[in-house]
Amino acid sequence: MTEGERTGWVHDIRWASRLAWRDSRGAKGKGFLYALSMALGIATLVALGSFGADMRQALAGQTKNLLGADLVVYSRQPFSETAQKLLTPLPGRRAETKRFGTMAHFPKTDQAVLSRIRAMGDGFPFYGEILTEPADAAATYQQGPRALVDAVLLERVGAQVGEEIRLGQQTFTIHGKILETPGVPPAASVMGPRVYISLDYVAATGLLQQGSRVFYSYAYQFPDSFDGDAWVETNKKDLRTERLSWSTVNEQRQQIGDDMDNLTAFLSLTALLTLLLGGLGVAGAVHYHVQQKTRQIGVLRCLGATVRQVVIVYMIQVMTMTLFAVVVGVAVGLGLQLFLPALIREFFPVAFEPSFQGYEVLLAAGWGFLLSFLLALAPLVAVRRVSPLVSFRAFLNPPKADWLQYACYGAVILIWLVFAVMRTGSFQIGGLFLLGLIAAVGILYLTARLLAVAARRVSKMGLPFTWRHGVASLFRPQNQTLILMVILGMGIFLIAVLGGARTMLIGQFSDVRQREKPNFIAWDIQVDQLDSVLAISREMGVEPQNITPIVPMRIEAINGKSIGDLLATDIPHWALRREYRSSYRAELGDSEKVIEGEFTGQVAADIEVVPISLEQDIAADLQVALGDRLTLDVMGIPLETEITSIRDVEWQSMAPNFFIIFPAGILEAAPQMFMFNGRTQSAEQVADLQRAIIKNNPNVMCVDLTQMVKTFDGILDKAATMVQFLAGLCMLTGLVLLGSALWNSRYQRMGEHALLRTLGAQTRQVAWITLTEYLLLGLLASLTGVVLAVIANWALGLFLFKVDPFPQPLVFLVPCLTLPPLTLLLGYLSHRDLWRTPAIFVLRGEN
Amino acid sequence: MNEILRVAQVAKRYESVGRSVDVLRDTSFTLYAGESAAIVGPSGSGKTTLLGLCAGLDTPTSGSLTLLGADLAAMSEGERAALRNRKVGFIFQSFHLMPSLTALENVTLPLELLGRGNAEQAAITLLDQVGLADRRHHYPAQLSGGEQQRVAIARAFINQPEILFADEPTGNLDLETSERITDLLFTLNREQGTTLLLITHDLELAKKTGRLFRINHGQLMEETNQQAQIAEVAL
Ligand SMILES: Nc1ncnc2c1ncn2[C@@H]1O[C@H](COP(=O)(O)OP(=O)(O)O)[C@@H](O)[C@H]1O
Ligand SMILES: [Mg+2]
Repeated sequence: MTEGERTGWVHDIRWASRLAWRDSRGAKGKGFLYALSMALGIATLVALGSFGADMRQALAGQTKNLLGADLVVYSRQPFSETAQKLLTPLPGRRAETKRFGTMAHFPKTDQAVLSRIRAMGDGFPFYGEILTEPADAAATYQQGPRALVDAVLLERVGAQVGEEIRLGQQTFTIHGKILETPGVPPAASVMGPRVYISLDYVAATGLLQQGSRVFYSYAYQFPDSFDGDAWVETNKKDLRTERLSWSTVNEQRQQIGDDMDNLTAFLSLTALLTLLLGGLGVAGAVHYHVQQKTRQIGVLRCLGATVRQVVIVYMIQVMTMTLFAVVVGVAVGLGLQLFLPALIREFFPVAFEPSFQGYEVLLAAGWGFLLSFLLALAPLVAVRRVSPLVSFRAFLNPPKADWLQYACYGAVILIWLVFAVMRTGSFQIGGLFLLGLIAAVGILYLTARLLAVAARRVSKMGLPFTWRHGVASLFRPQNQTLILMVILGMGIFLIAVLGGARTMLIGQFSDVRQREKPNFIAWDIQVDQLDSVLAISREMGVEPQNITPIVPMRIEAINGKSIGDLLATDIPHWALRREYRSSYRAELGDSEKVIEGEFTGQVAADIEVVPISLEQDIAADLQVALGDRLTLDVMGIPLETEITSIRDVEWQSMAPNFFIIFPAGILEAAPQMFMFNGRTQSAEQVADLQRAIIKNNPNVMCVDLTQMVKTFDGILDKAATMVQFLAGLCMLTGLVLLGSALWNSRYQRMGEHALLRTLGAQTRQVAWITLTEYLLLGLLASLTGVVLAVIANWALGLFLFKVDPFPQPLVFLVPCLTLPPLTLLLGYLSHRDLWRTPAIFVLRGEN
Repeated sequence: MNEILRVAQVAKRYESVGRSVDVLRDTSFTLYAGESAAIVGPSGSGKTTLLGLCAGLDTPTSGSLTLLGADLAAMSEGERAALRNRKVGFIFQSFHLMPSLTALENVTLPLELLGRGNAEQAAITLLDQVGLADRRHHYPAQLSGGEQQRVAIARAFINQPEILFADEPTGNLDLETSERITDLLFTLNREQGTTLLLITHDLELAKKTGRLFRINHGQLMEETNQQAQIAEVAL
């Protein structure tokens, strides 16, 4: 054999693969489990990447259908003459649409439900089709007093196609059931079911009286030669002056696309984080593996193996494991992809089918491989430094720090960063996401460490024997307890925060659920209807409370600066354009209090500048303070006002509250409508009351808040699935890692159990030590997650929802209680046979 | 004299696939209180097997074993464990300390299994006797082989056993350390009046015991001192 042959790469690799294969005997199961924990992360990357691409493609194919037109111009009041003139030059087809809310009444079942009416001009939508049953209904409903009704609504009231629906004073035939509308996510219909009618029949309903809230719009279909975006760009200022807003196809697509990109970016970053944590677990395992093989490596070196040869042996093992993880990950990911669309269908405006996204799969697999491989490689570099001398020494010196190892971990972080930036398409957002995740993991890790230290301390202070040993064996080196606590804790955290946020959201409406608090609201009551509606309510056993006048108004100028100029500032447009439904009162209610200035309750009718009170948040949004002047347009009449007080309002209370409150004495003569609320006892009572009110007052709207909160809860339920999916992934990765860590320490455990038995321990005691260990792991991991969840919830409650952060501590308790039994079960199942290890085992010195 | 261990016509056969091995055949002997005995024999001759049987770690194919007046065959695994815990001590060739426990915790382990409270003081005393009192908070990985074995000896004596089983206690140690360990073993043995059954390759060690058994091809024979000396000369 010549020197050249002995050191050739081909020879080395062939030799190394043979040894790698032999060396992996008995450890393949272990390797498989570790690969699985990485495969889960890769699977999620593949699934989410493909899913994101699916969504983008779905949107790209449906661009025009989302809007149904090339351009839509909206107004909150009938288009003025100047507005009409401004729009005249627009070429192509035009369709008018009016949208408003009303109670839809179904005579057959005698039920009334608050619905959103869309009165459509001819031809709209220009692009895309409303899917109906029967299929031709969408094409023919505009030819008479016919309506297309939301499938959800029909189901709710038990009505059928062919029956009648009454809107105001006009009866329509239910011509078809709406299955799907382009550009409208299905969830939207749960909150406000839609009814489509022809524009020609709006007048006949008699619902468009003065003061009722109607959204007017014109939809355009341009000839190909016309550039709608350019037209909007040049006419922006005039449009604003006319208080018109608009959507173009491009804007719409951009918006939805951005939202979805952010969602998938967040999801895939979390997936990558799971992969990273799983990978750290694997790194720990490889580290331990190498440590155990040190002596063997020393012997190999004595026998003449070169460093390169030895490194290749273990590299092959790690590479095989990683490749296996990638293959399994891709397969599982492709399977997962099939289920993802169903999870967001309710919130996505376009239906789509999953399809194979080669590029995304390749990308995810590539990232996954790179990250996993580097993570497994890092501890492996220690192999280089094993000296042949170790075979002659009884004791091994602990390995020193190695720059190559640090370089590997550095590369891992770098890859993660590049991934984040690429996925979000921006340094800033990518960096922020990453910082957030790192902070979260940091807190989790810190908590885990503190808990670990605490557990050891406590166990040393006179816990029973079995507990003490449970703790000690929990923190045995190859257990990766800290990483497990972080991964499992992250799952718990996601679930707990989700639950917390949800109870906070729902908690805002908790008053509705309290007895005696109003849960029924009626509004848009005309002055001449008020007495009769109140009488009906009393008759039906619902005492009207908080009878409040409402006067709609708009901002015309602030401190003399016109709305057109204001729109060019950074004051949010919605705050300037919106219709302010205000009220007047002589005294403030219980749920509001003045925090600045002084409230004036009564003025003379001929006062020149009316003192008004603003709610603090809207004042901040409008960037106004005490002493500032608002010119308000009340039904066409400008009214000069001055802010003399700022209020803090408890919005969650069921009392009617307003952004702007006027003093009594000035608005009494203005056109106004009334609202009131009351307490109902049952769904039947609500239905009866609604029916009775609608019968003679079809324009009045009412809603049952108890029902609404329920619906809302249902929607949140659906929205939660994506987060639950990630939480589930974390838990699964954690459990797989737990399983493999267990496998790693199995031999040692076997020896310890046999030793304990030899020393006279009862099987029960040995079992108890193990069960303690696993129970503790579950408990500590839960605690780790809950600590972060509490912090997050506290922040959410304080800054976002502005409510008591912990309305229901139970939300935190439940996920906490699910994990420990799981880990306990895993411990039990995996150790049952170990407890039966014959004690003689230890005498054979095989430990 | 008080009978501690009686082995009567014990045989052990290992059945493996398609083949069975008779490791021990018709083995009988009795040990009395305070005696010390050594079993010598070539590797693979069945020494460990015999020790395991005597300690109730394994069950014989035939024959009976009486340990401290109790018939091992008639006892459940739990009862045998309890007996070991109270009255038996062990020392192994590869020390077998629990890696996750400190030296002190390893020594107190048997007493803790029993649920005794004042384990720590006794353990410190014993660690002091083996010369490791100042190392009591160290983990096994931080101790040399000889030190680990000394901790193991302390652990073996902590429950004041009536009988001590040692399987090649010096097999993994160098000569000098072996001597220290041997001295320690016999000193404690004398002080506590423990019966000692040990397996060894080391004839120096074997000579210190009162009785000597030689095992060959599954056959156990007791040798008189004279015979032993002749055998040694012959070697
Ligand atoms: N579980 C077993 N199955 C089959 N053969 C065994 C088993 N345990 C030990 N043996 C065999 O029994 C014989 C005696 O082993 P052992 O008592 O360990 O010998 P010693 O301790 O004298 O070196 C050996 O040949 C060994 O291969
Ligand atoms: Mg042996």
